[in-house]
Amino acid sequence: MSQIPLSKYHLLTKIGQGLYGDVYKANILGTDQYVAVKKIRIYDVSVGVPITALRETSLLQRIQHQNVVKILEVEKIHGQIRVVMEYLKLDLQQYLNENKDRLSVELLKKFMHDILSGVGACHRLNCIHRDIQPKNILIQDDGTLKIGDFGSARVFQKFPQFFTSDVCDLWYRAPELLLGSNYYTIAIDMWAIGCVFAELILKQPLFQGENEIHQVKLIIPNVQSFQTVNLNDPNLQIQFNGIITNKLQNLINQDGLDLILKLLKLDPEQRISCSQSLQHSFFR
Amino acid sequence: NCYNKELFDSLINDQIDLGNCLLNHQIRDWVRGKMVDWMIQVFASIQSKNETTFFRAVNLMDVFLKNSQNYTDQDLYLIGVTCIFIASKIEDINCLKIKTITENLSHNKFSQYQIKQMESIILQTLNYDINFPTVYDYLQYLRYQLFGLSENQSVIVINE
Repeated sequence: MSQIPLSKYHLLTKIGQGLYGDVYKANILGTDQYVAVKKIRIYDVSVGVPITALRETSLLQRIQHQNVVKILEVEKIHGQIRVVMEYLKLDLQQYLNENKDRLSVELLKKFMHDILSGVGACHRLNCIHRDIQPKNILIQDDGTLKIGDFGSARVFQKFPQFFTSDVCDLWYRAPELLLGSNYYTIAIDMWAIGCVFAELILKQPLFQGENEIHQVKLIIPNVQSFQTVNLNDPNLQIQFNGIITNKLQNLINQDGLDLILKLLKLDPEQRISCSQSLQHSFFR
Repeated sequence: NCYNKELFDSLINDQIDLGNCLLNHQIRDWVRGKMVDWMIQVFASIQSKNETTFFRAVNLMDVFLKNSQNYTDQDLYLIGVTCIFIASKIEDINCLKIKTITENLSHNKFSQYQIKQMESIILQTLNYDINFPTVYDYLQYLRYQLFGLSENQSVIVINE
């Protein structure tokens, strides 16, 4: 007795574990085209379709950009929800681990251009990604970078709004978040992009804090009390610029260093945006 | 914010026409009106601090009705309740639990199963594209154009 195929996709191997379920490499039945299928695990029956899944799929439906991972469809098979996305076999973290050589300036420019364009496309739609890190930036075979994993992303309003401050991987977390601010803007993504940029140059994460307090101390070494830190204190910024310059001075040209310093402004108000960054002389 | 122009363009492009959303249904205008009214009461009673959730719930309901057919006055209650449930998940930090929805909001008129089923019908009908700009986004944009970023200016002007 032949069985009616349930799904258009044939699951091959498990390639990862997302926030809300396992991710499989799959092929479209009858072709050799690969896709990534996220099986959504409904572990909390009291919320129905999980929040992260809902936010990720609904945002990816809105953001259509060559530097953002594409969603192909959402399939429902026997009550189970499967999000079908384009398949990219490598992420930036794996890439950095596998390639020990330093990246050329040309490659740095291309990578940063892709990242800024992709994140810029989110920001234009009023969406903060909130989890920018090399693991969530995927690489296509032709070298194009695509922003993925929108499980933490959300839409924000014009005015700073009250959000949870427990977002972003620790090493890429902006100082205002580390200091416990619940009011933040797209600037937190810009800080994370700055950290990724530095990581591409250093070939290792810029600030590898063991916990939140340690992370703050790496950024502001002589911090006295967390309550009294004033992020727009010019002296603090000068001192911080010194740390960054020391680490990167001989590894990147002046333009690149200048862009990093503009991305890593302690004061979120002064941090450069994606569209401003793309105009920066580093890309000329 | 440097994205104002681009944001406004995307608001214009993403505009959805919600007029005549009851065209393909046996739902009377005033029943929908009553539903919206009830939603206002719900958000007031749970002391929601997040206005965006209410606007998303109403817009979700209208977009869903626009893209579906043959629902009746009786169905609207379940649709509305479920839209509140989905909107809360998109907008709130601590979203409404399904138990709160069934017990406190709809007084055990529906089972959790019914809500979850309606949720999946709505999501599939809209192809999960549920993060579209709502009326609130347009209002915010206009307010920004008129009064700038200051939080209180609009209030001051109205008081004057």
